Amino acid sequence: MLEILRHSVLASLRGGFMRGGWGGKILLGIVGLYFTLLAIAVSYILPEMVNKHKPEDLSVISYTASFALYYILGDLAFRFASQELSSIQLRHYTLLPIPFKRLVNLILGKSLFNFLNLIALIVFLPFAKNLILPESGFFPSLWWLVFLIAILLGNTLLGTHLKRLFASNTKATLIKLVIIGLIALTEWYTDGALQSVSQFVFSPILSSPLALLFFAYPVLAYKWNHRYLLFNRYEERWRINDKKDGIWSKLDFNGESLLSILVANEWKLILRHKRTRSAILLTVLFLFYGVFFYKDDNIGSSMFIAVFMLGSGALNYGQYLIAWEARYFDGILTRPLQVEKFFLGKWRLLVLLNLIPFIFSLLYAFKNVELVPVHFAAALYNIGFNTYLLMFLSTYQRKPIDLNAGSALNYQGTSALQFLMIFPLILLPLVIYGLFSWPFGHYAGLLALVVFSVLSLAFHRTWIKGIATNFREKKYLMADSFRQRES
Amino acid sequence: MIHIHNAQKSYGEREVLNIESLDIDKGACFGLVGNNGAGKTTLFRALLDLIPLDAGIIAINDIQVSTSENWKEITGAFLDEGFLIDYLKPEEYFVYVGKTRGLTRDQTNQQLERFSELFGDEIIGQKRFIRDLSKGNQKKVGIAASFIGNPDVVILDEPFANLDPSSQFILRELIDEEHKNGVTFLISSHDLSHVTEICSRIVLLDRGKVVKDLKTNPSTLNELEDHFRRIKQ
Repeated sequence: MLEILRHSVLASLRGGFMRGGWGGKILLGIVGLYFTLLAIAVSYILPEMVNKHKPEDLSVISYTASFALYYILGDLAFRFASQELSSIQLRHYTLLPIPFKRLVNLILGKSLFNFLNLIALIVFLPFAKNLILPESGFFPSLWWLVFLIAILLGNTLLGTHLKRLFASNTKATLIKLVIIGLIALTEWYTDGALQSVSQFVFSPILSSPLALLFFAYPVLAYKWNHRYLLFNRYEERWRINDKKDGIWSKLDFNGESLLSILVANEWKLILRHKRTRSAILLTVLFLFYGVFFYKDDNIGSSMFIAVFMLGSGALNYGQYLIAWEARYFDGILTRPLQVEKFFLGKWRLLVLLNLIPFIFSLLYAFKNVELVPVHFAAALYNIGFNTYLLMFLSTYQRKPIDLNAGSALNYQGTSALQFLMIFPLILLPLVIYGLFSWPFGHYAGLLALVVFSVLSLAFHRTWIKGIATNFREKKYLMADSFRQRES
Repeated sequence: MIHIHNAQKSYGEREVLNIESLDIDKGACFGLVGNNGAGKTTLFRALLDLIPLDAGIIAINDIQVSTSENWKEITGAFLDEGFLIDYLKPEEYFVYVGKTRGLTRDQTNQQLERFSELFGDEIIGQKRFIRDLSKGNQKKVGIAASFIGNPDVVILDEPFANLDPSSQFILRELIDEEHKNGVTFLISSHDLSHVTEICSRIVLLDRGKVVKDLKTNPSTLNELEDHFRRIKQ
């Protein structure tokens, strides 16, 4: 048993982003540290917030009870989205003389020790000690914690179970969105009725031994997991699901010329892999960025937001422009496909990724008509200059990305380069805009950007040629590095 | 057709390729054998300009592969799954490969007809992506793709590995057929009996060097088997 645990520790040390060089490791460390610190900070701020907002006549326990329902559902949704499936490679062990049930217990047990649970404890243990203990005494605080732990364990298990059932299923995502929408709508139209329901139901439970009953939740969730895993011990039962081409392929388009096939293939690359799909979905979310950050009184400061908002799709995808294709890079190099053509296809795709957000961003005209020229200049800059810069820089991105090793937190390919790339891509347009808008006003700045972009576009052939030459110099290094993927 | 002169490649101290001179005639069927690490794949990669040589010249049809890209039009290759775009369906992949060689969709489909026996009904018309196919079927897709556009030279690394016995024989017939049409084949294999059956010339590599260069005759298989037995001891 211990040996298997040791294997899974080794697997996590030797696989995933630990192999991904120092950039990924440092990033992971920073992210972990950041969230831990954040949790500690929240645990300090939370009591103050509660004291400020809580109605006088309500006990802390009743007050927290009114949020319990949201917490349970929100936590579950978040786990469903982010929790990784703890998968000890069962296949390797099923042949060994170990009872299968024990393997399943091990998998489930291991999944309980995760970062989210740690964070929740960091936040809520001090909360219970500082706020509930003085007000309600020892046993109510104990029941409160018991309830919390039961929910954490239950959500962990149910989250993984739901994920196992639905992760590869697009319909489930839609169902999830609909449920969230329904909850939000109920909330909106009933003016917090759910909060009273939550309070009514949970406040007696939170402060009495009834909380112990909630341990039925993790136990049940454990049972479901257990049954499911036992049933699916045969690999063929859980592999069938992945093999359909799914609803994403409905969005395919096919071309006739070589160039349009190149673009169509890359479009398929985006649609048929989870990681690229989420990179693109992120773009859609970014389109709402302006709703929160545009200020009517300062049109100048909107430049930064516009460049960022409209370019995020191309940036997200373009930073790994070539690395996405690491798996079959040898094939690209040996085919009679001119390097220039190869990059022309990529350029078209990048233009598309800039153009679509721009068209949608025109809706911002309803907020402020003056945003339209800003968006136009930003999009033109992104298309006229950033696309070439991205294509040029992508030859320095030599970490292979194995798109089939998809998971929520897959940082394969991330390196310090990503952070460095952002500067020229985002800062340069601001410098150009600033240089002209500062002495001559807002529209002079916009005009300067437009002129710069059009000039750059006029050099299209030169750029593509230069990028191709650069690629020819780097291709051996790239091919060699891309071949280092796990096989 | 293929000219290799003084080709050298080493990684650090370790020499992986050192071929003084090797010429392969047009229309030849050239077999490459050797144990793991002998340099077979390295030689093929160098031929396809996937790795740079430290010194020497490799040319296909008098075109030096590292300086021009025109050799790609007359060369088809399948070395490993790194040639497959695995998120495409086989048909989509074939159409793409055909396009790079200037073929229309119909022309590509027409050229694929000769593979109908090799494919069986497991490749075309399935709603599966290449990544979901078995290793053997992936191999079939890759080999078929290397024939698309009727290149003059076809380079295959271990084409028989992972194929079921029937497919191995069908593939042998396909190669024979194309060979008769004048296509030059370069094939590496661990399966000595297959290479000696289809190849008219066999070169044995060991630690990057040409150790034997044989014209195939009925005793070649025995000679090769003897050699490998001796190396083992």
